[in-house]
This record gives sequence, structure tokens and C-alpha cells, in this order.
Amino acid sequence: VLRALGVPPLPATLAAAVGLSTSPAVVTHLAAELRAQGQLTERLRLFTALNSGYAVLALAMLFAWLNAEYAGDPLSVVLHPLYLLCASFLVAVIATGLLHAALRLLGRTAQLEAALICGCVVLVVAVAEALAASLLLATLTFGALTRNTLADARVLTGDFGLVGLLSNLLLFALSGAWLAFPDGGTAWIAALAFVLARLGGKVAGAAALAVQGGITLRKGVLTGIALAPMSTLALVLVHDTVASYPALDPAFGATVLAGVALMQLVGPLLTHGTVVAAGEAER
Amino acid sequence: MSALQFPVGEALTLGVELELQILSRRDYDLVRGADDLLSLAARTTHPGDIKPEITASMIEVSTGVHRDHAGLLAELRGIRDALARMAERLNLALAGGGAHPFQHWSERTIYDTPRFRHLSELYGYLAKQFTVFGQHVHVGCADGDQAMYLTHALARYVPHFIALSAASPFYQGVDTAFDSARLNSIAAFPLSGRAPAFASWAAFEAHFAKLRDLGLVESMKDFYWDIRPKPEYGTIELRVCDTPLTVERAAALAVYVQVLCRWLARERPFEPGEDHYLTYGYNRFLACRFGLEAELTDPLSGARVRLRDDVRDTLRGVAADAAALGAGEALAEIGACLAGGNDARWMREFAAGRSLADLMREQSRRWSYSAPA
Repeated sequence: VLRALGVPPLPATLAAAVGLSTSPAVVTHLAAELRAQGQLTERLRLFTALNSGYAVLALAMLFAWLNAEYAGDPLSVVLHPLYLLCASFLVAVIATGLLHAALRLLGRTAQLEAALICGCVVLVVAVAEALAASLLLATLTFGALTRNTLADARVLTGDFGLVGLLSNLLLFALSGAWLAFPDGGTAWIAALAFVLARLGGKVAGAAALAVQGGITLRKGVLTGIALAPMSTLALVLVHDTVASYPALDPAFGATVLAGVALMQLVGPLLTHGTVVAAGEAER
Repeated sequence: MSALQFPVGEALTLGVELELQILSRRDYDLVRGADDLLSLAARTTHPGDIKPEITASMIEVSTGVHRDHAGLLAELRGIRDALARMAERLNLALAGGGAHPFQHWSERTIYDTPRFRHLSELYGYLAKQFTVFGQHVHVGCADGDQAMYLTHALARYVPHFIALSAASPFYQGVDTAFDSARLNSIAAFPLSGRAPAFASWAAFEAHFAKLRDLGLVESMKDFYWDIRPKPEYGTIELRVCDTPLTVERAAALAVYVQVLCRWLARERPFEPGEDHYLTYGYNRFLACRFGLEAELTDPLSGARVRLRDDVRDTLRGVAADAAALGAGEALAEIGACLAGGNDARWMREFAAGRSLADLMREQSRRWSYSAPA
């Protein structure tokens, strides 16, 4: 769609990769606020996690193209994305190993486990930053590894109370302040097209999987719409990319940021509406 | 035709209803999954019947009419396997057990049907606290008078069924010290407990008509008695069992009811009256509290007997009826429960040193994979 509107192939592909993501903060907050339970909510959480992971991975892969375009060094085309993947994964694996060792050493209680996980997240962020690896990839991998390697069913609660609510408000305000609104109508038209194409893709994907996955087509379509929110994660992805490649076509940043602005306002309303329409908000 | 006319039918047929827990695979707490599960069940071929229950984290399955253990167990396994497949597609887990060990009743949602809405309006918070999970056993009766006899004669054995099926030692996050805490949630309802002692169907019909004229009941569904006649099906229904952790235990319990009914109907070893109910409430409490270790008091002789020994003696007494009904395998399962302890004991042992979420995960495994059909 963006290509049809005259956006060059590289920024258009980068925008598509960022568009894969759905805002985990908005989805987690809305699900907790509505006390939502059911298949739409389950799939919304799952797709949000998966799509955000795919977005981070896809961007890491696209760094090859960016390197080819801007760095001109054929070796870095292959090595930079490979380094990002390997270093991030390695940091996550080591942190998971440390977590397990600490739990074995200190014994397991729910509070200690939560504190150690938080500590390891800080460690992952610090080390990934120092190694110039991908923060998002490292933290996502650490989360997935921790969830799947802790042997019992203990989990951190998804409801972070008043502190969570305040952090979400702060995040919303900060990301709002970060948005640089593009001048002129063209960027907004491209952004609107980007947002609609993204929504269409999400609806088509979720609907295609619905019946096979045991839910009705209606719930599948609603799940696709509920995946609309884009927020801080998308901003961070754009920021990282633009910061690494300042020479990048400004169409990428302008289109995605305007899209995020639209989805930051409309996305939560769409998710709220679909969760209620599916009958999954607590009555 | 009277609304309560009891049909003349085949005696000693057998049917089972089981209320099951719907769990999230993330934290093994109860989850509102009934709607999605029922929607999928409606589009899937499966044996038995699958229905909603009062809150959206419960589901009820029921079998057709059976004559023996083999047929009943085969259908229960078929239903269990079909439901396990559906739950897996929806990333849900199902489990037996009489009560969820750490759910909070206030978080439950009433399932949206006119009857459940009415019950919620009438009973207030009791309706949400009714999120407990029981096994109901139907046994066919030849006529209404036999149904009344069996309703009251079987009451003598209610502690057996409570103790053998007990699977709700934890409730709202704590060990209750009861083997079956579930029955305490039902005791709050005004029409719970034992049925009033009427010797004939005609006398019971007159009693029902009075209560209906007073506006207290509309149908037999309004009685939450431990054992109630069910004229729509031509059965009596025993309702005191917790849902066991496996379908094998559920089938065995149902067949134990069937064997006892055959023996009682054939021998008529005593004519039940009010005196037989003198110790009913207390014996029932002891069975809930201490399970197979309870010490029961005979209402007529005053003799005390360990519940475990009373079940053993009873099993010996009904051996001929068990043989006639082909119930050997089922009663062997009951014997194994006497020797190895009930589900409540297993749950306490498993939960020692582990979280209650771990217990629920293991319970859901036991439910889904106890023995494939």
C-alpha cells in the first residue's frame, strides 16, 4: 500500500515490520482493567507477544538491507544482524542460567522469585546496551526462556495495581510528547493507509486462523481488530532504527510516527470495544 | 397428568452428571471459559451431553442411560477425551475435584441464562459461592413408591459416598481440615440437606403440591437435597459426591450406588422413618470432616463404627448383587480407594511443599490422561 503511495521500498518494508507489533502495555492494561477472560483475550495476549517478537526479529533482519544501503560494507550486511541475534540471545540465556542458579542457591519463594526476575531484567538491559545488542530481543528472549523453564505454575501477576496504572499513564504521556507530527497532508495520508493496511492484515490473519483454532469467525475478526493498538514499542523500534541509520529516508519515520499517533488514540478504543462486544469483559 | 407423576420404568439403569472446573493454563486459576467451550462443543461431534453450569468457569457433562459399569465407563472416557481435545484447542485445562483450592468466589461470573440469572437474584452471593463441583448419580426406579423407598434407605449410606468421593480439602487458598469442604457451600441453601420422610409417592406428591402452592418451589430442580427423586427421568439422584479426579473413580462410585440400590430394593433390610435420620446430619458432617476415618453412629442401636470398616462390611453384604450387575471391576476401584485413601488425601500429600497452582496443574493432568479410551 505504501509503495502505491510512492514510499520507497526500504522505508515501506521497515514500516511493515514495525507494523507487525501490537502494544503490549495497552493490551495488558486493558485486559486487566476490563478483567477480561476468554478466547479473544487469550489470543490477543498471545498474538501481541508473538507479533511484537516478530517485529523485533524482522527489523533485526532488515538491518542487513539497511547496511547494504547505507554502510556499503558487504561483511556487515550479514554480520550485523547475525551479531544482534546471537548477542541478544546469548545475554538472555546467560541471565536465565543465573536466575536458575540463584533460585537453587537461595530457595524459592514467590517474592524472591519476582525480585530476582526484576534484577535479571535490569542485568539483561544493561549488558545488552553495553554490547550494543538489541534490548528488545534480549528482554523478549529472557521472558520467553524464564516462562518456559521455570518448572512450576507460579507466575507473576498481570495486574500491577496503582503503580502499573500510573506507569501506563506516564508511558502514554511520554510517548505522546515524543511524537513529532509531520507537516503536510501526504504523510498523514500515507499514515492512514499504513494503519488501515495494518489493521486489514491483522483482521485477515486472525480470521483465517479462527475456525481452525476452535473459535467462531466473528471472534477471529474481533481479535484482529483488537490487535490495533500501537504505542511505545513501535516508537522504540522506530527510534532505534533512525538512530542507527540517520541517513534513512525520512518517509519511514514520518509515516510510522503518524500511524502510531493515530493508533495511540483509536487503538485502545478498538480493543476496548471488541473485548466488550465479544462478551469477555467482566459483567 | 400430574406434573410430578413418576413413570413406570426400568429399574437400576444408570446415568452420571459431572461438574468440571475450567482452568487457565497460565496460572491454573478458574477462568471464564464455558462460553467458548460450549460454542466449540456445539460444532464438534462428541458423546454425552455438555451443558453450562451456574458460573462461567464451570461445565457439566452427562452420560446417556446405562445398565452396567463397562458401558458407563466407556462413555465417560469418550466424553472426557473429546472435551480434553476441545480444551486443548482453546488452551484451557479441565479438572475434577470438588472445589477449586484458591479461586476467589467474588471473581466468578454468573453464566447468562434466565434460570441462572434468577438464581443469582434470589440467592445473592450464595449463587457465586455455588462454584463447587459435584458428581450426581441417577439410578432408575420401577415406580414412584420404589423411588421414595430408595431415597430414604440410601440416606443411611450417604457418608460412604461423601468420604469415598471427597476431593475438596482446600478452599479459598487454605486447608479447611475437611476432606469435602464442598458440601458446606451447599448447606447454606434453604432447600438443601435431607428429603422429608414420606413412605409413598402419593404422600410426597401432596407435599410438593403444598410447597408449590405456597410459591416456594416450581419444580424438583428447586430442591438441593442430598438425594432427590427425579420423576422426569424416572430416577433417584444422589448428589453428595465431589467430582472425583478421574472418570474411573466416578464410574466406580456410580456403580456402587447401583449395587446398593439393587440390594436395598431386593432385600428391603429396613423400613426408613424419622428415627433413621436422628444421626444423619452429624454422620454427614463427620464424613465431610474426617473422610474414611470418620466414626459413624448408628441411629437405632447407638453402635459406633469406623466409616472405612462400614464400607468394607457393606461391600461384603452386596457381593451377590455386585456379581449380578457385573460390578466387580468397579467395586475393586472402591476397595483401592479404601486401601490407598480418597482423592482428598492424595491432594494434601501432593500439595505438601508445592503451590496450589501446581496441584491444579497435576489435577488437570490426572483428569485428562488417567487412562485413554
